[in-house]
Amino acid sequence: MPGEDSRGLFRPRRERPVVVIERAAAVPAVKDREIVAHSLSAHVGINGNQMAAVGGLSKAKAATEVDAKGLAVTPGFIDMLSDSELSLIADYRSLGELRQGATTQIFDESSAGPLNDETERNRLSTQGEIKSRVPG
Amino acid sequence: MTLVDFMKYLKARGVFQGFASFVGAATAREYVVGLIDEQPAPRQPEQMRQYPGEV
Repeated sequence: MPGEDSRGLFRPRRERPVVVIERAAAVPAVKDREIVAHSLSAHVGINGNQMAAVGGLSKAKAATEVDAKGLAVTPGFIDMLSDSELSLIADYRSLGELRQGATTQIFDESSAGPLNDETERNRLSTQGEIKSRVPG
Repeated sequence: MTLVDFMKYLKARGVFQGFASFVGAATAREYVVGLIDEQPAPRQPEQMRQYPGEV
């Protein structure tokens, strides 16, 4: 991959990172479906919505610098079996998922549509704790 | 309500996580057979197979 060094880490690009996360740790590095490094302590540079650099950025200056000592940094997880449709209506922030690292949710079994009049009525009348005028 | 309607509604609610949806088999059954605990009628399995076309 372009920009990769011998350890499989990305060299910083020339652009200045907007966010640098310092002392990020415990990131399993995967290359061609093989784990090539189980844990490393590194800096993560973020530019826009991209990880621009991973590795030694101790000399980099960024507008926002976050000390992540003792924490793990990963790309957002994808919940492939989410059943949070109604929860998201109640609270669009979905902090339960977000705080566990899931930034994408894929709704699965018992999806929210398409519904006909009867199934809409069924779902509205069987709502539990979360009430919504929209059948989820 | 179509699945697309629901997704647009969630987006309008302000959900900022990424989200997408499969069409669940349970929803297809609910749509065609209802919630009754019975075998589908002979023509209903085919209707369930056609169902995702209405997404």
